[in-house]
Amino acid sequence: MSRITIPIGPQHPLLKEPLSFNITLEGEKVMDSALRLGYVHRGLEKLAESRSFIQNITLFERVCGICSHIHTTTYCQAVEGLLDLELPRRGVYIRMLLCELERIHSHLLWLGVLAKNIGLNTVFMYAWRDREIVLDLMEEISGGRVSHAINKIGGVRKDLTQEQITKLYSNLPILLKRVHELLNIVENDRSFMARTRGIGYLSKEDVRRYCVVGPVARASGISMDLRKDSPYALYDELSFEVVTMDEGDVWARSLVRIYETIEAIRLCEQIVEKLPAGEIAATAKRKVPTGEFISRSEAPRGEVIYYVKSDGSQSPARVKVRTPTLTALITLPQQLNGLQMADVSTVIAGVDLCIACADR
Amino acid sequence: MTIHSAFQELEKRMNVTYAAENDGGLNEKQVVLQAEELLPAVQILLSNNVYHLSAITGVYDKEHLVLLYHFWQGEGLTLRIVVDGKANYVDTLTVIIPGAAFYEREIAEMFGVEIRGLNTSGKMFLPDNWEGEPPMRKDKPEKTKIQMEDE
Repeated sequence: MSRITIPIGPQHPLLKEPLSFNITLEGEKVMDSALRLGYVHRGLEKLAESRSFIQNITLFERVCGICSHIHTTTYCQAVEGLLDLELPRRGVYIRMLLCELERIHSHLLWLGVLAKNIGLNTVFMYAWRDREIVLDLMEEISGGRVSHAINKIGGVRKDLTQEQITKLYSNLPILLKRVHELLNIVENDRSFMARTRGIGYLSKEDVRRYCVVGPVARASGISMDLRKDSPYALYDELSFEVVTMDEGDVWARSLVRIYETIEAIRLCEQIVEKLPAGEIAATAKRKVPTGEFISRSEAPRGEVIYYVKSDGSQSPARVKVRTPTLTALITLPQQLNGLQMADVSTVIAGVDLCIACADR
Repeated sequence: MTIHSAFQELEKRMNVTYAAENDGGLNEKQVVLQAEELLPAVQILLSNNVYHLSAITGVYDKEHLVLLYHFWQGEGLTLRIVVDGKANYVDTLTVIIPGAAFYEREIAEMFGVEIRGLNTSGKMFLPDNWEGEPPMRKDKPEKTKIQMEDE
């Protein structure tokens, strides 16, 4: 049978992000695929070298349009490490609150995209409706729905008011109820399962070989979560479960993410309950001493790593960013091989890609 | 701890230039090696069950380009590889860690380091019509020029 190659992206209705995929088909069966990045490469790492440490917070907020807060958190952690700065506990708790709200927002957004790609538009509408609750909460707290600009070196810019805490207390239970409804669909809906079970399989061994992180790794039975394994911020004071499954397919990834959303809502409630009193930020010195610092954190999609090197001047000598999407992308050819063309969209949505992150 | 035993074995068995648990320079364990020792060192890490490569960073230590291989298994361990200014190459890790491919492609394009054994045909991050020096390279004069399609 003759083979044909179908280009998907960089602009394609199936794939909202600028990634180019060339899929080689034999009939309906995927035989081979090749991908290319770079359509939204903004040279952020290079740009960071010509800006001051403080200006770079604004820059790294823009690495990702979904998980912007975790990037500034990881960057600030690195600079605070170089400064050897002790952070006030209240500031760290507010940081963690935003991190967890962002996780809920990212996972609900992803569920909507997956549902839309497999033709379940109702689930898409429900997931994005419920995502509005968490977006409103984040806007209330930080002033921004997606770019929060709440982090600064030494802590956060804005304190939580009593009004905001009351709003969190009243809205988080509603969100929890809605997420349980979505969980019911993912777990039991026959058409959802028919489109996702056994699709895009990755074994435990594959995950290790490809150094995959985040929910994709956890859905293949690898329990890796930096909040638990090497707690940053003050995650060691909070209790939560790391959700893992063994199936390794898109369905398992969906369940892992929904259970994680439930855990994140529980974490938000804990953070608000335990919120310490006091200052929200420490005063940081302007001059960052010479040194290197590696900062890691658990973004909604997995491990984010920042390497910051300072040569004592007012700009960093080097900032390296590695985002979780880059690790998931590399597994796509293997996941796609042998599948039907109709399943390609499910697999691509299933790993939760963020191309702007991968390109930087 | 797997990282700890891997670190000790590296120190014992490899021709290590410098090794430190934490010297204030970097906040994680690090080992400095020559380019040709990269593959055997990574084999030692894998045999100690350290298989997660987080990232590869290219960075300038004064005039010298070094590559930092950030490994992680509960805690971090960085292999610091000095890329020789003249030879300018390292061996690919993809034969033992396939997940290193995109990190190595990025290093090859952004820093112009030859990754021996890696298929680098075509561009991955830079535009297809990119002409000139690798953009993150600092030791060569800058004469970067990009040919626009409508020119």
